[in-house]
Amino acid sequence: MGRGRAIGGGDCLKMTTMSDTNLKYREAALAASQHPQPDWLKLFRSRAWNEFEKLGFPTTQHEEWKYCNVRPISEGEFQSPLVFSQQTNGYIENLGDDDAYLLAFVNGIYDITASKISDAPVGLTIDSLASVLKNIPDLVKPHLANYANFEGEAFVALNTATFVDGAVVRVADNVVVEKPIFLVNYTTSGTAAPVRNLVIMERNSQATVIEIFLSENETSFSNIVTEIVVSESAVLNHTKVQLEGGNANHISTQVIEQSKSSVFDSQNICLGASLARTTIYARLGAEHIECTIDGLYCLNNNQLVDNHTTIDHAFPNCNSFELYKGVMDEKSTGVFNGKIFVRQDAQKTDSKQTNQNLLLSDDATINTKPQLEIYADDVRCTHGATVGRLDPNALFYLQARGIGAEEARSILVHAFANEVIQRVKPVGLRTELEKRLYQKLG
Amino acid sequence: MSFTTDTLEQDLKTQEYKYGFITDIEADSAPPGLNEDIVRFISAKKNEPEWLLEWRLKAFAKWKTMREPKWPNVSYPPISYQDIIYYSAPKPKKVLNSLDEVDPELLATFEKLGISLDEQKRLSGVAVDAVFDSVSVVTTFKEKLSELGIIFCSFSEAVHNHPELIKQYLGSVVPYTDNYFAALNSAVFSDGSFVYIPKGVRCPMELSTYFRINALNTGQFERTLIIAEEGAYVSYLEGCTAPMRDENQLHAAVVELVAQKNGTIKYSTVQNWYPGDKEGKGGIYNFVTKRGICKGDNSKITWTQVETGSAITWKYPSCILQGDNSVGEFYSVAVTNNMQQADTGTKMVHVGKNTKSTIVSKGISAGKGQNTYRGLVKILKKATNAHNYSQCDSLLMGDRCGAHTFPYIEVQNSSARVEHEASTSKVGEDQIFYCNQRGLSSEDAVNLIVNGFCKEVFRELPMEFAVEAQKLLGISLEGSVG
Repeated sequence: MGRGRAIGGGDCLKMTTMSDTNLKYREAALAASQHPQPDWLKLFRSRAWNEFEKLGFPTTQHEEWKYCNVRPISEGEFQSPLVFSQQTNGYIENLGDDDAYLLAFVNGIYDITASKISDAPVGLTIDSLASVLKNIPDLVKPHLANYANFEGEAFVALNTATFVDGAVVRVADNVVVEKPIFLVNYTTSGTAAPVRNLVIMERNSQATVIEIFLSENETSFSNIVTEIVVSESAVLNHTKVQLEGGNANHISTQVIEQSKSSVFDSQNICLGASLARTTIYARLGAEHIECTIDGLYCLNNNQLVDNHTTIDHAFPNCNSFELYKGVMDEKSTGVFNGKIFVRQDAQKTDSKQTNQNLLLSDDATINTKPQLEIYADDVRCTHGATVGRLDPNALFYLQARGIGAEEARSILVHAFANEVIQRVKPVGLRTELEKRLYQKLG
Repeated sequence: MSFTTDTLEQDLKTQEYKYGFITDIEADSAPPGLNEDIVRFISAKKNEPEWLLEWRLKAFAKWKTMREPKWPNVSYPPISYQDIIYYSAPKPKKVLNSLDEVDPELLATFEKLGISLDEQKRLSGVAVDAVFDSVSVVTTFKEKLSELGIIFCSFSEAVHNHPELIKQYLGSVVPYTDNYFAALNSAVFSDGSFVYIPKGVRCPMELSTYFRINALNTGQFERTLIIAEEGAYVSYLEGCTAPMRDENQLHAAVVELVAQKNGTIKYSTVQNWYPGDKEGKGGIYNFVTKRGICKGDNSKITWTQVETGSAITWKYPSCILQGDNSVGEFYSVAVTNNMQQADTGTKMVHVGKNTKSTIVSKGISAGKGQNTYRGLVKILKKATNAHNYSQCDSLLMGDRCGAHTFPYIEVQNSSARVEHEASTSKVGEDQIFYCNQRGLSSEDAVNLIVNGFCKEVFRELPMEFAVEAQKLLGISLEGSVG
């Protein structure tokens, strides 16, 4: 098999110098390439593997990973998901009572028994990526691995080389999907799980897609790449909810490609995992696009959460909004890096970026870097970042009205965080998130 | 000296770089290239004590192990460090007592620059330590200052007369290991200024040095050290012009400021080196390390800069706020026109309690200029009640220029208050139209708008500098609005 040679043969010499960790990923890549799939994908995979081998895991010497030490991943011992024993019951926690389509995955592999997609209307394709690649690969050919560039991106390269399965959501022209679509992935302990999701919104379509990430409490490593295509005049509401266990490692890359007059409205809610990195890249590839990227990170213990976002204005007359809020308690560390590029032709761009952070403990740290790179002159771009603690006057006000110090603090933190949670579309999920926020902040 | 529309108009007519001329003085230069012998040569030329030579050699050894930084948002052809002449001095003369003894050609140069020494001496009350190329030629007002115990002299003089101070403070703020260009400077620095303000003394005049790069192919490696003892105050001005050149010239200076308890240092810069022609040919590479430390409680350091010149500016005047209640301030106007690139900003490191910092940065890009603000605000764990306010505004003129902001904020203390704001906008057509209606030319209108945009920074400058800065801004932006 040509593919096998590209990965396994030829460069045997390198194997001696490779670490055990990399060997395991090489096996995973080799196994992934054995699954039924079109040749063009095999080619991508072999290039991606070479890229990953070349790059290795990023270190803090790398500017984009300056505050995000991935040693728990690079030095961790993780099993390939191909040998997992699937536990089919009860891993999907209560995520609200929304009437929704549900696609469930364990370690990135489709779990048909837990999924609910039987009543999908005409024009909505929701399926596992493995089955699409086997049966109708042409559906994803123009998009898969086309947006998430693996050059220079070790985790995207690793995902591209090793993914086996994931979700495909495709909404056809002029179709409006009323019910939200939940894509849930559950990662088991000790596993390195690559997850590959693809959302294709055809022209004039509308949908709400929720990605939810869960895991067991012990250490694991989920490596997610989500590619999202929003075609002309399409509207996508997207929410990513990361609720992984306290020792989990979560690396996620989201790439959004928008066409003319499309709307992408998203929230990135990050409550779980011990190390979580989310990289979002939105390319505004035509005129009159609206792009909203909001986020919330609430951290305690020793959590490290790193959010990197890029909004790339390549064409004129587009608007983008970004609001990221962070609450850091105990010994946690929050990292935010928001980039806004306004390219030379992107005149009349209106872009607003805000990052607000609340430090609740003297051991907590926030590193924020709101970044603007502007090459056009007729634009309005603002960004702001604030770091502070709860206003003692506000606390006093509440206490003067008979509210205990703890509760007053809780009320204020919630008021701060709720701005982002309120933007989550499905009511059941929103209520559930509010509840979890309460639990987390005590 | 007053600023009028007439003089501005006249300046605007001279499109070419106003201060571009080369003075021919037989230079006493080292051969081009850099090795240990050159370092020894420089040290020997200046009759330096053994400990300083050793320090230079250590820095040189360190420099050899370092790599040129690539992270700034600027691009330029690789610098050949072996083609640079690391030492050049105007012909040594006997110790000068009055201006009459100074080389008349040199004086004429200063005249052209508009900083005629005798005029300065008589009228403005500013003591000028003029650094021509690398060696201080004349120092004025020294006697008056020395009555107060203030030391204001060239660096080499200080090495001979006050070695204990140099030994104590040299490299204490910017160690030679700090970065590539600081290491290079530490190895080959030629001269610079030294200021020492003793305890409780308020320096009665603005101290000023004019730097000027002269002999062809001579990198200038200045070293400035300013120390304000307990309760002392000093305001120091630095202004630069350089002649027109085709080959890029490297300038890697190091400035160190030390403010002790209740001490205040104000450091103002107007930088107007040759920016290169319209195609980006020539021009100065300005890679500078400037850092101040607020060592004692209640001390204060203010950096004010107006950066209009240089092909490439790479400069981050920083403050380490070590003492409790210390204050750091940074006010900056950076202009890039034609092919100029600037990557500039500041670092505020809060160590002590109740420390405060303010950052106001105004970037103006025109033509194909690229202007980057890069700043760090770091609040360490023990810095309770630290407060930072940052504001970075960019003004764009033309659709081929760029304005970029890279603010790093690192906070490790929950009592900190950090605010960062940035905005980018262009000179509004309606604003220009409004001015046109009232009889102002578009050029004047732009100057008016830009000066208004920069007002917050200009008012931090000493008077004479504020006037000069406004003029420079007008000249720098000439032709950017059609």
